[in-house]
Amino acid sequence: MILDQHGSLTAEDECYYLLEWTRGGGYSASATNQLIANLRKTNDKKGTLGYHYKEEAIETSAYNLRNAINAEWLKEATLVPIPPSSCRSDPNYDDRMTGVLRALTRGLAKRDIRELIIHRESMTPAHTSGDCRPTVAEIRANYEIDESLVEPSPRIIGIFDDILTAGSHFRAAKMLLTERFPAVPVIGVFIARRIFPPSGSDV
Amino acid sequence: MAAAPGLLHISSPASVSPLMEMGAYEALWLQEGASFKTIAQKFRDSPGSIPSDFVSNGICVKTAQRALDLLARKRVGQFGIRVHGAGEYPEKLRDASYPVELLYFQGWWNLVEAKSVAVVGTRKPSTQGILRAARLTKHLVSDGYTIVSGLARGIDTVALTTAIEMKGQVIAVIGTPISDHYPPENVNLQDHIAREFLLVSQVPVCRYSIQRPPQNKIFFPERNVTMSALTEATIIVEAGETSGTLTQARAAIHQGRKLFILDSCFLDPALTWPARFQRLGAIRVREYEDIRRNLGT
Repeated sequence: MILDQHGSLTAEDECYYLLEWTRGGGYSASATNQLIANLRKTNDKKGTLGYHYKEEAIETSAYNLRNAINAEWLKEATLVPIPPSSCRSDPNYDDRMTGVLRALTRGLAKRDIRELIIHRESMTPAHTSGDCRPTVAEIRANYEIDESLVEPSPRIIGIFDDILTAGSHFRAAKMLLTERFPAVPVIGVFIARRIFPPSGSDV
Repeated sequence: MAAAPGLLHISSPASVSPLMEMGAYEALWLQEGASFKTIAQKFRDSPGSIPSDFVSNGICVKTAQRALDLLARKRVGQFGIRVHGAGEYPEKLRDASYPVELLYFQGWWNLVEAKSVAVVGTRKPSTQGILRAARLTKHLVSDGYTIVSGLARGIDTVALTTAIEMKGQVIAVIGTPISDHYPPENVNLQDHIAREFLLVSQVPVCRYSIQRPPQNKIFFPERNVTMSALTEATIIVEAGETSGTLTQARAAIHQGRKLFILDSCFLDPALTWPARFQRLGAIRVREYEDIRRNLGT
């Protein structure tokens, strides 16, 4: 029904989302757009008025995901954030999804969050790169497994990202993880999927 | 939580698939004696449940396919579903006596978050009624309100078309499934709203398809209840003593929404309902300022 709106996904991909984010709508298009805008506040806004909304957005996203996710699944799964577009050494490094996963699993007796995927080099964030969005192959080529984190071998993997757009980052991450852990099921969980406003609207 | 369709299995991280829920909702409606009341009761008795909790997986899949086939046959394009218990479901709908667990929509869902009022009334308005509906709608659009109406003949149509002419935003809540149009002369208007604005329907596709028109009438008053729940206020322009519009008046009062009734209704000696609803808290509107003041614009 909606698979064709996320062009890089295939019928074999298993993806879940919570909300819908309107492309091009900006902050005010919906409560979800506001949440995502706050979640994506960049590091240079640190210390400014309103940066605390990022923390709130992380908490809200985690709370909503926690309510939606099967607790039994959560106990078994290895939770892997899609890596931020900047490397760890980059001043723009933003591990918001790791923050969401930490908040999501807070208080659980057993939790397994692993930043299993790392970048070889920083990428232009796909959401600010206009028409030159990278392909699955390009993203895959820039990803590598952090071998220091592969033990114990995961039994189920959930890849987490904030927005499902075409699904290219998920596909690339799934390819990489499936090559490394061939028998392990990999699914995607997103705070929101991208939708387009109606053709004639001003937004 | 929502999922890409058809991918749900026991080890899944979450349990809501829009397609499965659509199948379950459609299946609940195919059960003998099903009504908004009986279905709402089922959910009230099991807090936190979603439609698929009451229907087997096999039936969900089969009924979803049946509904999809019906929608495809009627050439319904892109549409969406909102399920209580999943993301983007508007909590304000829970104020209805028998809140809907699932609804279909086409267009721009974000409009449900806009400040909105319902403008409703008779299907056979007087010339004065038409002029009043148009004038009122222009004021509301100027004040930034999204206009919500039922897409019926008469006042509903005047309100929606005026708002669109004024470059305002509209939501139509219909009493047929998204695959059907009523009345026939509003086909283009409905399609336009579905494409550019927001069209909402709680009417089950399968049940509607197997019932005759007289039985399908039950869906019309229920959409008025939803319309009231979606909005901050309902404004009645003109309505007869037995008008379906009064369902919405009752719903607005019950749901704690503001109810405005135009003065002309009070001045008609044949009508008893305006005074009755005024006693229950409705606001008599002598000039637009009365609405503006009470809405706090």
